[in-house]
Amino acid sequence: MNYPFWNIPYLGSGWVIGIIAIFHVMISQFAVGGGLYLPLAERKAMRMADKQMGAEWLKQLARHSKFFLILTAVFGTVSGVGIWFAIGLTNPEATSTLIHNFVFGWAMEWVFFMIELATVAVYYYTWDRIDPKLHLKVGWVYAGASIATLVIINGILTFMLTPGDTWLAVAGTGHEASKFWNAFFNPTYWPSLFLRACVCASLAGIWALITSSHIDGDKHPALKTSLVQWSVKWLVPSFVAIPFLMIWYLMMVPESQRALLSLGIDTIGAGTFSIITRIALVIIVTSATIVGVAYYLAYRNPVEFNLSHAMAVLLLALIATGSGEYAREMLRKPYVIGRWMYSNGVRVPYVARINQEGYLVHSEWVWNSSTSSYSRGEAIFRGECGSCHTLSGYRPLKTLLAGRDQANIGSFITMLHDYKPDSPYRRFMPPMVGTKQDVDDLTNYLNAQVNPPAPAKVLTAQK
Amino acid sequence: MMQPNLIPTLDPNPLPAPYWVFKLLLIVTFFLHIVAMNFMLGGGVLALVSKWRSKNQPKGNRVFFDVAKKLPVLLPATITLGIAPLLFVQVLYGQYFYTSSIIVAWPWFLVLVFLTIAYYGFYYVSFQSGQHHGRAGGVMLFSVILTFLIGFVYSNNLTLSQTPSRWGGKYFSNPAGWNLNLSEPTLIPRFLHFMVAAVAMGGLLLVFMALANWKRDTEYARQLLQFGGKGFMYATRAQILVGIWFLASLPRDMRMLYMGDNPLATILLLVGVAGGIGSIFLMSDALRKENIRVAAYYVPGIVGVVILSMSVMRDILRNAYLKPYFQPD
Repeated sequence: MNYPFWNIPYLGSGWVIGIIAIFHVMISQFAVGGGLYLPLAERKAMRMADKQMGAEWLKQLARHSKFFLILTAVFGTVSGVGIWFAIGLTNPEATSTLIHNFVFGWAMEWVFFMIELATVAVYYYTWDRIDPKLHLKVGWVYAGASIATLVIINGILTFMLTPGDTWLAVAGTGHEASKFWNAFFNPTYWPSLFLRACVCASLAGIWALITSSHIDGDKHPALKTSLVQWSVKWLVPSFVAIPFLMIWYLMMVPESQRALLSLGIDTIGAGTFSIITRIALVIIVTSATIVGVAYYLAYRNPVEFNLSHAMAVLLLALIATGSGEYAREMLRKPYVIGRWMYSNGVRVPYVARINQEGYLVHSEWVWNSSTSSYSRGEAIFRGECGSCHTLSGYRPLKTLLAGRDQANIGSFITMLHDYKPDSPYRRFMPPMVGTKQDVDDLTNYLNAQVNPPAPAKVLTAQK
Repeated sequence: MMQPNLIPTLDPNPLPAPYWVFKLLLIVTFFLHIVAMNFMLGGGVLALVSKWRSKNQPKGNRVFFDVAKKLPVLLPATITLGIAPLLFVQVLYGQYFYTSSIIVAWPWFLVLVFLTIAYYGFYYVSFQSGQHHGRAGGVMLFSVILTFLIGFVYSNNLTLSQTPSRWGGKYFSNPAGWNLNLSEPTLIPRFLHFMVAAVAMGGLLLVFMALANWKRDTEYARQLLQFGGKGFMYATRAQILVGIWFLASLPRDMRMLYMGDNPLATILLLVGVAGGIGSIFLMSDALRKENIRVAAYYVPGIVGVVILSMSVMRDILRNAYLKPYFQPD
């Protein structure tokens, strides 16, 4: 174990990334979609035959762009940095691998991000202050830069799921950089890009519903109707294309990684849905509800559409987005970088060596002394299990192992260590790596947690 | 005692370009980040000073709100310009940086919370104006304090990242990440060195604002020039003392790098000191003659050279700290 482990009791470190990432995705994909929404809406308003209506649209767009600026520039930027902080804290090994491979990708993304931030500020602060045509051009530059950030980050995100055979063939040889573009345009790159583009468009529409819902429908019925209905249309591409894109996406994931998905589908009949199948159902249900609410409450009754309705749509979108990102993470199991690095930071080709030399041999982030089996077991627990499990919170080992005695826990860990080809745990768990001694140390530690020794009887003085 | 076993092994995936390329990018982007940070933080401090000194008179309030309008742009500029050096420091020093970050995980993580609150605080103040601004001063003060705290956490993490001998003790006493690096003797002078520099640069921000207003509103521009220029001079004078303290707090062999052992480091220190003192005299002269050209072009030019040489000196210091553990090609 190379790095110390950030021990977050109950919650587990994975959720630190998860919570930040879900918000970041909601905001940053809005930034991309909204980047197109604003200039398209502005152009539409400028071309309207009804000049009065066009002017009202532009006024509303200026208000929307203030909301957009504050939300995306503040939360988008801070949550983006937040992801950097979180991944470095919770999985430094994988972060380092990604950075060594994609530092120039990120550097390019950063340049576009700079353009994005500069233009969004100019766009907001120059309404009515520069020539409308120039203002629209600023909007287009913003849209282009924000799409470029998506185009780049998508390569890195999809690489984690499917690095592709070409890159894997050179991984670990020192020639990884020569396959940069293969790693970037990896098997799931295109389906994921189109998927995310659809989601971006939907989010642009959904967030626009939030600001449009603020328009007083009694005073400006025509403005509200036209804006709400136009915004709802942004949801259409998603709900037509996403099912097909999803199938394309899944087809590009290697069979070995899809196993987890089929595990859920196989067992629907038995009533034991795997988590990923349940998540898929949540996504379908929330998405269908969004369509329903958007059509009946917004498109059909735009004047009555209020902030609570809009918030309901937003909340559903948050659930759908969160579930989607969660499903993507689940699909990647047992890896953090597909077929190259397990979730706990162990590189696949290193397994045999660690089994021979021992898990703690190259680094000693062990509590107090390296001689006690319990302390060594605790260090192994943190390093090998802690990325996904806590003791008594999220995926709690105390509960999951409850009822087993020491021998039973030992045989379970040995089974994870042997990692036989037919082991069902291969579908989502990395192998337990280390020597026989490491297995025993981990067993001792976990047994002490699951079956705590009875407290020594306090001897009271008897006279 | 040294615990070399605690140092993570180098990532087996090699860097995709020569070491010096990333080093250059790190220093250049760090320079940009620190300039933006200085304008933001120093601008905020001087805005508050102006408001208090004028006891809420319109003159001082005008400076306050004019600076406040710039902060919602300067803060994201600081963050965004900070992303690049954050990336390159991970490329070059990942095994040290990740480890120290994990040891101070919670304070490090709180940076994000502070940042969000400070950001909204700056926005709140920037949208206030004129008559009704009851809480603007308090909110601004709160946001500025939060940005100071962020700087303090950074000083803690980065000093810890280059002193691996402290890692074990801290991690084992609190593996949940509630640690700081308070026992580091250079921590406070180093932190102050950055913060005092920020106030000086905040003064230059006001001088630039004076330049922008010079033709339109000369009286106001003069006020900005005098106030900003004095802020710059006082802070830079204080910086000489803080700088001596920082140098004195360094371990002897590292201090000596700047006093002859390393010719480049020594020259850079001389450039820094001479530039700092020279800029004080130049600014003082410019204020007396109300020469905006000198104050807004020559002084910032010299200060730019000083910050650049300081950025390189900082890098030399990090290399010296990590020398026992890490000698890249």
